[in-house]
Amino acid sequence: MNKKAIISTVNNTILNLKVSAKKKEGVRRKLVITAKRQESVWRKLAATAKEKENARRKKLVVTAEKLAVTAAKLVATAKEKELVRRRLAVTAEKLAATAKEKELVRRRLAITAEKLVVTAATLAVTADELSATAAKLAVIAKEKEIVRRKLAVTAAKLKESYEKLEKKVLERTKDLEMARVKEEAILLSIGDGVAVVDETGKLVFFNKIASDILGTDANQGLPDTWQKRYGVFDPISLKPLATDQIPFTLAFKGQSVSKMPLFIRNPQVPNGKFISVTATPIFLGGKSIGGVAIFRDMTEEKEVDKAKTEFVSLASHQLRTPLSTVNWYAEMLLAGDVGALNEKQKKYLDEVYRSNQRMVELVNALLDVSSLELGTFAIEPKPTDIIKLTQSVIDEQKPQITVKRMKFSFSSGKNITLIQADPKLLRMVVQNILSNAVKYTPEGGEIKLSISLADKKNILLEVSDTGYGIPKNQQDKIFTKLFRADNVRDKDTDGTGLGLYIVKSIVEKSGGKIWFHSSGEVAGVRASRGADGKENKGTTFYVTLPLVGMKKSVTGVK
Amino acid sequence: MINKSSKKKTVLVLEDERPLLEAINAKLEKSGFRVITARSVEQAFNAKLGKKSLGVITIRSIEQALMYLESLEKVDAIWLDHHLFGKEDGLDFVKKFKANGGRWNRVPVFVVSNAASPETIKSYITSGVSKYYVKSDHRLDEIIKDIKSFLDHPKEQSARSANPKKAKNTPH
Repeated sequence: MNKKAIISTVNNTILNLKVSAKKKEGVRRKLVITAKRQESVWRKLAATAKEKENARRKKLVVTAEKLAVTAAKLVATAKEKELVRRRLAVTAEKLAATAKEKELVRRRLAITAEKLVVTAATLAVTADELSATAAKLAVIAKEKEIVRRKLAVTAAKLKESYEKLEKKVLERTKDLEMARVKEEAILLSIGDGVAVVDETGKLVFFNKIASDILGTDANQGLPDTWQKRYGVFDPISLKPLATDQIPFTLAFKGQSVSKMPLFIRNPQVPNGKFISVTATPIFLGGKSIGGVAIFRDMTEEKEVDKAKTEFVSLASHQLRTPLSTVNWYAEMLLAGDVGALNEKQKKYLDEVYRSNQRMVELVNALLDVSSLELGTFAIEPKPTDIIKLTQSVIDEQKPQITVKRMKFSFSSGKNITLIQADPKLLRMVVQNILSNAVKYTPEGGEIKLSISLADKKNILLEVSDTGYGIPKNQQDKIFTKLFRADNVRDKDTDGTGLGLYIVKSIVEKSGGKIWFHSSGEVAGVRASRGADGKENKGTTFYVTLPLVGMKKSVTGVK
Repeated sequence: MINKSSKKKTVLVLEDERPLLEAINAKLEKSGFRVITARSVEQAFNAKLGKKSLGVITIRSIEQALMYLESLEKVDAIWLDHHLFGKEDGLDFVKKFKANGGRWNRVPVFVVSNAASPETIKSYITSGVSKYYVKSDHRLDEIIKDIKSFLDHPKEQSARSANPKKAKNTPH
């Protein structure tokens, strides 16, 4: 900017400021005039206010005078009022004290009242409950009363019943006593020994016979002392029995024993007895509470049986002598030793001779039976070739087989070893079965014989025929002594009924088994059908014998 | 006559049953044996014995038999029953007879009896008799045939009795 410019600007500004100052002087002169006008207004107003003030002061004095009088009056009144007020204050204080006391009492009362209210409420609840209870009690009481009445009635009835019962019990007791006495009398006098043991095995009852058999001190004794006390033995081996084999022991342990043979020899009694014992457990609610044993003295029966068998044996021996005589004389006559016989004489004598032979066979069979039953059958096992033995039996039967034009076959396993057997007895077995097959098969029939191993331990002999068979209704009797089936009795009178009995005895004594299958029908029917040869399906007999064979048995008596 | 009889074998028969004794005697004689039997003590020792010395002598007790044996020069075989008169039986006879030893020891004894209990038979066999026959089971001619063949072939027979099956099956 140049200096000219700046001087011009400043000159401009001075000019502007001289104009503004002239304007402000105008405004100040106007304001001084206004202020002089307002001064005169205020002076006039102040004169008015002085007048008004004087007037108001005059009025106020009067009023003050009036007020003073009133005040004096008021003071007097105030004084009186103060007195009254004081009196009132005293009264008020007194009232206040009273009020306080009252307040206390009231408060107490209030508390009491509250308590009372609570109590009342409680009481009310209790009362309700009580009334409910009372109601219930009333109900119960009623019920009880009813029950009591009923009970009274029942009691009366019970008393009546009781009296009746007592009467009945008395009667019953009498009856029972009678029964008991009777039973005891029966038990005591019964021909068999009766003894009862409890669950510990103690003898609790025994009759006379039992005491005779067991010995005189039979009233005591527990199982483990029985053997010592009574001497209980196996009837055959006469070896003492183990405690757990004694029938009583078995019975009170819950096992039954039926007709078990025993030998009893009480050390204090001279002779032993053979008895047969049947022992039965007594059960109460499925629990064994003891046992009853019935002893039968078999000593006499055994002797009778032995005597019988011995008689048969003796009689048979005696029979053999005259049989031999008939045999030999008939033989010599038939041989023409004392001169030639004519045909008729020869025929008749032949009948005599053959009948005598049958008698000899019968006697032999009877002797076998008696010695089997006597136990005098000596069994002398030795290694035996059953095949050779069978072959020789077959050779013996060959003539009859040929005469009856029978088909016959014999087969034997290659692995058959020697068996331990008494050849004489084994021969009887094979001989009986084969001769039966020949005897009871009609002409032209077929017989098959085979020997094989039944298993590793047993040998099997099988003989089948196409014969008459055994009637179904008699099959169970076929092994019975002296039994002969009806159908064969009709056809053939020659037969003792002892063969199969003997065979079975031998086989069983040897530890083997014998059984058969037969298509035989009911006796009679079979016979008629069999005759025309249409239904001869025949019989098969099976015998098994253990390879270890028979046990040696030395003859017992005689 | 003497020559003929000397060829004959002599059998001593001990049997208490008369009819049987007679039958045995008859059949043995018929079969060509000289038979000595005795029926009673009297018969054995009376005068008749001499007359019948080549015939029948019945011996009914062991003593009798032994006495005869002492007096006899030769007996080829003995036919013996188990039951005999007197207290002793055939088994006792065999025992005494065998106990005598000497010449009697080799004489074969054939027991022909009905007392066939297995035990009795066993006792006879162990006492050394040659054979045991159940009387009622055998014909006279069977037994005599056996005795004959035994006397004709004593070695073979004794072999047979030791092992009868083998002998039977051997073809002749």
